[in-house]
Amino acid sequence: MKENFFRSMTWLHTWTGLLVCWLLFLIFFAGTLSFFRHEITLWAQPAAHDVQPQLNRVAAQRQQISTALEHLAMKAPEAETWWVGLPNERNHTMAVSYREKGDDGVRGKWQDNYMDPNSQSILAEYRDTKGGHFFYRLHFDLHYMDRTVARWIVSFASLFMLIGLISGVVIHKRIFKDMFQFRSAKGVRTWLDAHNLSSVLALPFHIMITYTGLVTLIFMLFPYPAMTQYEGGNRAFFADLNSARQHADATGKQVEMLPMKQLVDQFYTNWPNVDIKRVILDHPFDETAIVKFYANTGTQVQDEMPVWVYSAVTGELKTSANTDLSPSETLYDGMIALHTGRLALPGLRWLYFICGIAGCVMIASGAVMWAKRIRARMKSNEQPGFGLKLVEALNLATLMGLPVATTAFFYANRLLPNDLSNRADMEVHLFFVTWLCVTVFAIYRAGTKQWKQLAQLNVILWLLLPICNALTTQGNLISYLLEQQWILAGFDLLCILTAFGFFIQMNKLATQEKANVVGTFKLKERNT
Amino acid sequence: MVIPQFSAWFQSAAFLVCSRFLAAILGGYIFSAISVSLLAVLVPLSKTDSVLLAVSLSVLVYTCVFIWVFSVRSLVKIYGWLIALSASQIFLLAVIKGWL
Repeated sequence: MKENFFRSMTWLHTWTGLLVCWLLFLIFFAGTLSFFRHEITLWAQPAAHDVQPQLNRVAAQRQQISTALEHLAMKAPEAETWWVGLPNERNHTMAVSYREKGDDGVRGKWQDNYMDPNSQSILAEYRDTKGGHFFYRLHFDLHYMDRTVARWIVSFASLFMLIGLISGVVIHKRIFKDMFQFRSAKGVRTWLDAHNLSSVLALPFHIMITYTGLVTLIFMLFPYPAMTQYEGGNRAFFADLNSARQHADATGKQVEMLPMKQLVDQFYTNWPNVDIKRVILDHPFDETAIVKFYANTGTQVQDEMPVWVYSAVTGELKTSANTDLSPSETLYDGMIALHTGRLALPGLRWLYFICGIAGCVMIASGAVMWAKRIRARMKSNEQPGFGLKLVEALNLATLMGLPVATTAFFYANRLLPNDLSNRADMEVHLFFVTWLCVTVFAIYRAGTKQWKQLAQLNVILWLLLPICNALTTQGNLISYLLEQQWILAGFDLLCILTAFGFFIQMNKLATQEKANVVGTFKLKERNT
Repeated sequence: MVIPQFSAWFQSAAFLVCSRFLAAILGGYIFSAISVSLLAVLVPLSKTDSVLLAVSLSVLVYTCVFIWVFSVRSLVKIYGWLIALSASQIFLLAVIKGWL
């Protein structure tokens, strides 16, 4: 197409990158926050702030499961499913939830309750919020649209990301040298250095996260191998892969189940030392009632949890799955595990987060650089075209608007009244309304001045967030540090750090703005 | 007079870029879908394992085809290879599965 491979890859890198950069920024931004999904959810739920982590977590589980199941048997005997989520290192509360029976093919609603595992009492005043799950869903389901459509769009952007990464490596002649090179305050050159630095330093992460991200959606994207091997396609394949996924429908015949304690004892006789993540009981008091014990995979490179399925009526072991993975399963499931990062302890989790930020910087600097280059090429009396104006507006709206919208989501969590109906949805609406406002502002004008104003706004919003938190909850940064609540302290400190980052940006932009004014002034002088 | 206009349109930059992207996105997708399906049938593994191996490699195949489409100069060559390879693979697959 172009004269040579190098030129055509440069072309491909520029245009695939530009086409999807704003969507990719959203995906990377929300995905990076998702590494701290449970930590954000904890912050969003002040009722859970004071729940203390347990000392002998695994040893306490046996008792906890029995208590929770007995509680559900009393409270929701009519339910479709019972769900017991046990506390772990990142989430100190215990979920005791159930799904109501649906009618006429419509699945019932989940009723979520949370327990303090230390006192075994239900935590009151849980607020209706999506917390970190909002960002997790946003990064592949987007919002306000059909899930399947959204996932195809996200996959398309991810494919272009992968193409952009590979073509980027090809056109990069001095990959090693650029790792140590950053020339600040040199205009477009600086943006190129920022782009190179953030890409190259975290390159293995970028390629891994993009490839494995596509693999998480692979059965939607490429159902064909399963379709050639199985009559029933994906559904039949998964039934064959994981016998625990099949479950018979309830017959409606009411029977007595074994006492919950006996059921749990049955499991622990065979597997005494397993760290349990959750226990699910399907069709309580039906003759098809089954109870599923899911093991915590901990730091293993494995995402699918080992599971044992017992009949809740007879107590016999019906099936188990994911206890031994074949090499192919290890390959596939290992990739999913690398993407979700559930295996990461705090150190590795922070590395994931920092690499994710590097990805955001890579995408942002690439987008800004494109606009800067076109500007630099323009003659002094030339008017910017529609394309350039569009890119500049989208850059400002996305890069500066997303952080503003994120704070709006957090403020909404703290400031909306607890008894508001559809409270969780309102938080999300506020996120998008705020983003829309910034976008309208950016369409109006997207110059250095507007960048500076949004940087100022970000400084104020991020700095006030810990203060807002201190005023609306029992704790504050100082009490978190004194009581060693590192997750909550970390959240506040990260807000302050973000505000500081925007403060530096604001100052840089102010200097630049001054330089521009002087430049225009000199130009005018020369012209007259 | 119609024919020269037609051929000029075929050589316009917009058409060349669009048809190349079409070859990469759609052609590459169809090619990858067929190759990984064939791979799943050919590898001497259990049914579940063969499917998991095939889907895990599908993104790799797709990406390689995509890059290849943008590295070859002649559009005719690209479409020729994509169609020929896809057709022969689906034929082989049909023979193995007894679809014919």
